[in-house]
Amino acid sequence: MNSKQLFSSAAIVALLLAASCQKDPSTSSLSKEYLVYTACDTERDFAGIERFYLPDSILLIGTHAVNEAGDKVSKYWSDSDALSLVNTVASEMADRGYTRVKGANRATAEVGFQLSYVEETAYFTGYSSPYWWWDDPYYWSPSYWGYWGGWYYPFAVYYSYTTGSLLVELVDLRSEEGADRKLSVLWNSYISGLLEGKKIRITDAVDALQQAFTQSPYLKNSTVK
Amino acid sequence: MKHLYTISKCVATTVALLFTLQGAKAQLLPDTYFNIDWQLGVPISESFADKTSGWGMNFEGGYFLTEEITVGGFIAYQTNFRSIPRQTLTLSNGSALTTSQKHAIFQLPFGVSGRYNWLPDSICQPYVGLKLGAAWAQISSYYYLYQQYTNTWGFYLSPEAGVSIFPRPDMRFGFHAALYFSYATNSGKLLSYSIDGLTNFGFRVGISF
Repeated sequence: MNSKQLFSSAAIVALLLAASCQKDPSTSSLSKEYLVYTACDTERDFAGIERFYLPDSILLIGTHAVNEAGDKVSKYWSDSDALSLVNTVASEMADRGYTRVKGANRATAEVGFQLSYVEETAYFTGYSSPYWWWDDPYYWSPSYWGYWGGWYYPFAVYYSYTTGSLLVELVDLRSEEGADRKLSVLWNSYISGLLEGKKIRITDAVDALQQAFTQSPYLKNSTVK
Repeated sequence: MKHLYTISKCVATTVALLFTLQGAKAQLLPDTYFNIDWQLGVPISESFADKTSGWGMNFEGGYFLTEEITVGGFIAYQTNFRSIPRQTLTLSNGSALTTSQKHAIFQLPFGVSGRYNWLPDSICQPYVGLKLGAAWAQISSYYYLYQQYTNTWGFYLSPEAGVSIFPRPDMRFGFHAALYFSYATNSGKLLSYSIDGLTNFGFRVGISF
């Protein structure tokens, strides 16, 4: 081996050593703390909203129930833990001057909430980017709210949803209806890092839901002084 | 401390190998020098990842144009970190993120180096040097299960003062220690953070042959 070859070999070895030496920080503690991401449609007007509708249960993503006829149907979570999360959303909205409407008054609401909890992510391994729920027959249907042909997310959805995530979507029921029209999502919140083993940490979930509203100051009924 | 142990093990193995290779030969190559150093870096210009870190190394080699002047090349790397407790970041277009984070900046400068050496035949051979080149830096934020990062390039400049210690100058195999300052023009934006230039100082210790 001559001098040039030795120099070249040394340089290559040094490059390889350096490239393989990037150190990642320890992230084990990060996965145990919750994350709250919120986004909204900055083009839409939040000012005209006064009434909201909020179902009493949370849709479970990645699973389904079977009805009496043997058909697979959406599965909902509605025990006391689920209710505490639903009530947190109701309380936060009330604190911001909004009025919750129930039952037959649903048609008078300007916006509606969809709360979903990702129980299993296996179903979504092949989802269509970025609107993963398009492939899920058990996800919320626009027909739950009215006559719309699909969903519309006017802002970017950045996150891949993991098991144990809590999703909150605020749909704009003022959107124009029609088979060729889409129901617009006005605001969403993605909360993750809530699992302790396979069980959700409800206290952290409540804190995280409150944080989702805290970091969304535009959610405030401007007609209330 | 695990990485320090790994680095120490690598350096010790390298030293042992070099002693084996060295035998009675005065230099590996005539009129050349090589340094392999462990490096400790202290960021001083920005707060994104501002913790002192020993996760770094420096590799350098050069040719003696005269007894005093050398020119050569180098490549080094350094990672610095910072832990950020849970905080809310206001992002673009009305979005916001509340999370705990760990920040990391990995710097990989490389280029040419020059030195002026004193006392070439003595046990302790001090020098001053200058490194010029390019710097690649990856600026990362780790949160929950995610890593968000941006890759940047910049111009790199690093003056240095050090000493090579050869217990037997005729063998030209010994130790190396240096203090350095570095500035790289890398800049980038990540989440709600903005980084404009990377300035560090630190020291290196290692082997010289």
